Amino acid sequence: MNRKRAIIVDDEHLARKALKMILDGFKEIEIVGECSDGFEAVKAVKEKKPDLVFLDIQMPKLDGFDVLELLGKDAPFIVFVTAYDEYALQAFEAHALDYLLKPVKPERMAKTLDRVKERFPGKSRQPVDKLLQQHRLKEVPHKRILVRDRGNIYIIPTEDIIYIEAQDDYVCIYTANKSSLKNDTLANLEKMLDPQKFYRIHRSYILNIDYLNTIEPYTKDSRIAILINGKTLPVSRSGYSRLVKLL
Amino acid sequence: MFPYLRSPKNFLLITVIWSPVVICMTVLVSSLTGLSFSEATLLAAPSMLLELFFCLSSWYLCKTMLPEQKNLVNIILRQSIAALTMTGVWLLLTMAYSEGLDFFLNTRIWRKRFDQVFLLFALVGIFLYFLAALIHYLILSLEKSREAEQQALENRLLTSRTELSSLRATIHPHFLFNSLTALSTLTKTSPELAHKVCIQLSDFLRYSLVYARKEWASVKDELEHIKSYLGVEKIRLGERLTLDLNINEQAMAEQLPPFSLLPLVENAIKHGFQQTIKPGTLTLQIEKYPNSLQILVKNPWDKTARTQTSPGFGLKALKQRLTNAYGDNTKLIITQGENDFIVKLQIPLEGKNE
Repeated sequence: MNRKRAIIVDDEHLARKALKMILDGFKEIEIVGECSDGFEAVKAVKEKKPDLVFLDIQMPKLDGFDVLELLGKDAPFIVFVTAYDEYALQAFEAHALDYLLKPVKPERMAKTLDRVKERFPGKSRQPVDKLLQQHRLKEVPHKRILVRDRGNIYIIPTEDIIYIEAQDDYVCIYTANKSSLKNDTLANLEKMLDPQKFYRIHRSYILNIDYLNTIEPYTKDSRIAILINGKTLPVSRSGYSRLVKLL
Repeated sequence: MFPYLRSPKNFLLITVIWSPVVICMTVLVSSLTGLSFSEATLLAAPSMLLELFFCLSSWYLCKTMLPEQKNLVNIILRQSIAALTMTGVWLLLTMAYSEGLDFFLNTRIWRKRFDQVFLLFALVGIFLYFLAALIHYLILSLEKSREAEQQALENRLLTSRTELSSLRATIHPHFLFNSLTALSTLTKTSPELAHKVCIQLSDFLRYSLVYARKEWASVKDELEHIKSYLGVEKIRLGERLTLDLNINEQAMAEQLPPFSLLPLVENAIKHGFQQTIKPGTLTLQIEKYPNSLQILVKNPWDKTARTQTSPGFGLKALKQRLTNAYGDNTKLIITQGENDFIVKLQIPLEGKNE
């Protein structure tokens, strides 16, 4: 029998055990990992490449949504698990995503696993991107940005961000002591950040005006921004007019 | 609202009751004066219609003089004056009516006939007035008891609603369902522990129910409450949570508004321990000073943790409740350190707002 390999993610050990005991009754599932926080979960998914993740929503530092965001395209099939979260339940219903309510009923688990089986041969991706997009807009402005860089996860407080630069499929987030790549677009980040602080000064740059020193003319049509740390960034004409309007 | 004309049914009832009265009066007038029945009707019927009006309108007077508000002698005295006055006015009007009949019919008999039955009219007027007043009082008391019944019902509803909302406010669904999840595991893996958690949960829920109706609780009781809460959380969080309770024995007997301590530790669990991965210690200190009680709660705090939708909402609500109870003498100071979060609460021991 082709057993599905699953990982359980929950910060409470008794909740993990509860799921494990229920899954023991389902021979088609093999538990290959248990994680007590989001960091472990992202790492375990990368290393063990499970077919299935039972993901608790409420967890310290990185919640279920954060884990989903960090996994990005690597995300296997996700079954969300939550005790009580009206918002999350609405979102799962809206996007037809599988979820389990704690304490989990074995019958409900059976139903969910049936659905997982149906889905698997074609391995069509779950519509998690829309869920994430909706979830992101709920928290605007974000107080932190999550970055997964070469296997490490960084939580960057937005006040530490000096500027963000677009680089092909990625954006590069610069703070005082580090730069991190994130698989995202500038337009997306612009929507997440506080519009009173972060300005799209150029097609390829978002600037935190707390770190702006002066703006000087560069050529006839363009200007440059000089930051507090001495770094210079190009300012486009529309970017400049946006800045002038808002400052 | 005037009760007798509230519906056509009542109007009919009054007509049915009043008609025999009018007929009796007409017969009496006819036999006393020698007038024919129809002649007697001409004199008595309009007069009695007027009397009905007086009797009905005394309702308002009765309403202003209820037995539970004034003493009985006072009421009887006032009602007697009213009876005399109203009957006097009624007699005057009836007399004027008989004069009018003489004038319009160009006769001289109606006023004389009226004088013959004057005493009858006076007695009947006073009697009917008192009878009406008695009926009014009866109806008023009936209405009152019905109102009281309804009020009692409403009060009961309100109480249970308050209990429910305080239950909802003190027991967060997350706490409940996560605890039940932990419990479901424990029933299979360690029944002894499951039993203990069941008892702690029941103690916690019972306190929430019972104290929802009370105004004061002792520090000792409040402490038991949060101990059962923290006991359950400890099972859930395992080694992530270490408790350090440091309570001054002398503070135990002091009184607090119920649910003063729970929001403090709940805040520590929710925004501290459930947001940090590393193990930490929850410190609770209660110290008694000559004029005040000082409560301190300290918990680890992670700056990069996901900020909750409403940080410190429970604390804000607590501050409001304490201000309601003590006025401005209560202090709630929040200190956010680099790695820990401290809430200090100062409650005066005297000068409760009564």
